[in-house]
Amino acid sequence: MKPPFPVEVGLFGKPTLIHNVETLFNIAKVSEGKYKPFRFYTVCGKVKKPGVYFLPEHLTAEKLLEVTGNTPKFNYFAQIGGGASGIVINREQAKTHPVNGAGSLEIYPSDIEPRKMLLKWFKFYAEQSCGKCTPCREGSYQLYELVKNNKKEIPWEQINEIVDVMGKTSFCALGKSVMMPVHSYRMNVLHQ
Amino acid sequence: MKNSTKKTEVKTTIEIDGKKITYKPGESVLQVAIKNDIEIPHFCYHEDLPVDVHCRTCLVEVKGSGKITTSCNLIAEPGLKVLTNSPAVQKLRNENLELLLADHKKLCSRCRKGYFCRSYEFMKKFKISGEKYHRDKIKVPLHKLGAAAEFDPQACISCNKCVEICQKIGINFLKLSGKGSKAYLDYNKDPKVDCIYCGQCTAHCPVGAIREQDHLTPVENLLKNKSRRSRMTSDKKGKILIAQMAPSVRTSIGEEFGLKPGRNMEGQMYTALRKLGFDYIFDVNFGADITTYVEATELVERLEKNMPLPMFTSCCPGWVKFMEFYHPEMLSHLTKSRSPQIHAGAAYKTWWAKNAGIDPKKIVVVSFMPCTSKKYEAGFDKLKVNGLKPVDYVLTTRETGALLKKHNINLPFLKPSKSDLLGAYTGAAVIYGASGGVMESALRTAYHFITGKELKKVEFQAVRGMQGIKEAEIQIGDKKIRVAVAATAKNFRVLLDEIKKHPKKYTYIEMMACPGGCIGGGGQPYPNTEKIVYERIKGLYKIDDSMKLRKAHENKLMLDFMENYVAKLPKHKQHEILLTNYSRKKKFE
Repeated sequence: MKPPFPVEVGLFGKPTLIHNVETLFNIAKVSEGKYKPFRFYTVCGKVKKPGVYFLPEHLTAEKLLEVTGNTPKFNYFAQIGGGASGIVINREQAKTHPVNGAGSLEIYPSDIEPRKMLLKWFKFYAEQSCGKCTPCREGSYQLYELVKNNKKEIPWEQINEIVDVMGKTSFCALGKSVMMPVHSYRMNVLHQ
Repeated sequence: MKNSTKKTEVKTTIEIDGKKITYKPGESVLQVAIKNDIEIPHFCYHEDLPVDVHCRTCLVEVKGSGKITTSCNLIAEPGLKVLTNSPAVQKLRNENLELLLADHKKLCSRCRKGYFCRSYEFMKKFKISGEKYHRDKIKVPLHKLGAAAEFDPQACISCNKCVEICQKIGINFLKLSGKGSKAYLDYNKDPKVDCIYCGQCTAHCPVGAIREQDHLTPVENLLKNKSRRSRMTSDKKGKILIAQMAPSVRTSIGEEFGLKPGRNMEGQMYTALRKLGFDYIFDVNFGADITTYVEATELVERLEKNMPLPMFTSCCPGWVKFMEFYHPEMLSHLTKSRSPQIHAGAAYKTWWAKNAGIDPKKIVVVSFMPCTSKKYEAGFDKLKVNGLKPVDYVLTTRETGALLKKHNINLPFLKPSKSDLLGAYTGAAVIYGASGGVMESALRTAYHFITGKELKKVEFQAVRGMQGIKEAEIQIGDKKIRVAVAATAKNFRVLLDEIKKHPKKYTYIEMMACPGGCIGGGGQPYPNTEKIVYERIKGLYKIDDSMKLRKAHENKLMLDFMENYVAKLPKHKQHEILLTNYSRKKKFE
């Protein structure tokens, strides 16, 4: 139960600073005197050479694809940041949008069926929700069911209603994050 | 120094829906709202249990930032302004209610929670159909908790309150299994862990997913048949319906009708039971005086004959099940005495039936109890007297409330009346409802049995109150005895460990499964909080204080039953009416 957050009450009930493994890696590099402003990236999806890369920070999506030899020969869109919860951008935006957050970049062909995308995301949320709070536990399940059972069209209005309540009232960042892929996909890819 | 601490304690105010309200530091907005009768819907908040922030229905909008947040963990700060019903709050709250209640199998017309179901209340108030979404993936069947209670995973909304209260009292039987949207209510499969049927889960479930097993339907059928027959003349085949109410019900049933906890509704209840169609209105309190007499006799005998001590009380079936399952090696410490409802039931079906010239087979005894485990106890074959169960049906206080409402009986507006003959009782009986009360009653009588004198001061303050464990040292004649009182399984274990370490420390121990004793029982009105239980207890001691006769052995009618009826029966018959035995129990037994 939070609050209190770890910065106030953490390990042994004391204020605690929590580090990412990547931060500790960088600290080690600093102590060795070998630090350079690089970071880890994950490139995956419909690419030739998927994998984890250690490259300079703040690369744009297009640049990352280029330096890893993954530039698609087809029209694509990308999901950036943190897997299923990341922001979705189109090919044009990929020129300027940095691969930030958790550093993941996933490539999809732009003609992929929207239903398939939504099912993929909602399945992830329905399976990964811990079940603690109502909007995430029930909302993620209902989202998946809505798309699965509506084979003819995507019930955007109903989806938005649930996504809205999940985004605004979920307990943790997981439930809150469902807004990100759904809204950005609709705005940056489908409405283009 | 003193002055400066006082200054920091100055009350401050927050604004809820434009109304300035003072709060105590550390209180959440939801707590402030509840205290001031401002309704914010909530399911997973209970003042005695951890704040879970699960249900996400207690939403408020923070004025200024426009942020929507749960009020149960929003700590009040000077100048905080919130709205409980802004359009944004309404929209999100209603959506969460729809999502939450998609989980809840709605059997409202049949549901025994009647008007006091929180989900039904909110559905009505906020126009929630609960049908916007469907969830049919949980196919876990109804699980029976002995013959006492039951849980239905399909009505569960995963608020976790039952799991937490089960953990808090020290049993750990209930749990949520599965992850995410597939989470469902389940039980501990460990063969060494079992439910003791105390029913605390049922008194903490906001949606009736965990509830007492239904005795309301058969009782209603009995009453229906009764009224149908009464319209016909000269009917001799009919059943004789006897109602008996436990001490705790009288100071808590008022809550079902919106009264403050602790109000004594005894006289109104007698009237109500008559209106329902019961032929005779007796009282479990009469049985409590029998129990005190039997138990005090046994205590004296154990003291004189060097039999196993400490002696444990046995009127709580939850505690007895705890012993039979978890500590069968110590069963010889339990008093052989039966419990008040069973003693009284047997008295009706033997002594009273004989005197009244009624065939005992025609008698149906219905107990009104604050308890779910009393349903389990009433079903025991080992308690049969002349082949008949002393008690036929047991209704909880909640079921009693539902029964009265179904018959349009508005309890607070009834004229009080008196019980029939066998309702006679002493103050010692009525305090049975509170943790420490059985002990106190037995001591009042044991003192008389041992010394031949009467106590001048009958109150044993040291064994009263809400603490989990209470101890006292009492001088009776030339004997000094040490007694202890424990409520809930967590405290049973503490005392039993102490006894194993120091076998001679205590002489007499009272154990009750529910916090505060029967008065905080699993069958009591919702909500059941420690503060409310405390008020109900005050009501019981007030009744005791107001009575002329406060010692069980002063109950002349009870003495008549014991000395002029039971004492003249052959030994095995006396045993059949007054005493019981115990045996090791398996899981679910």
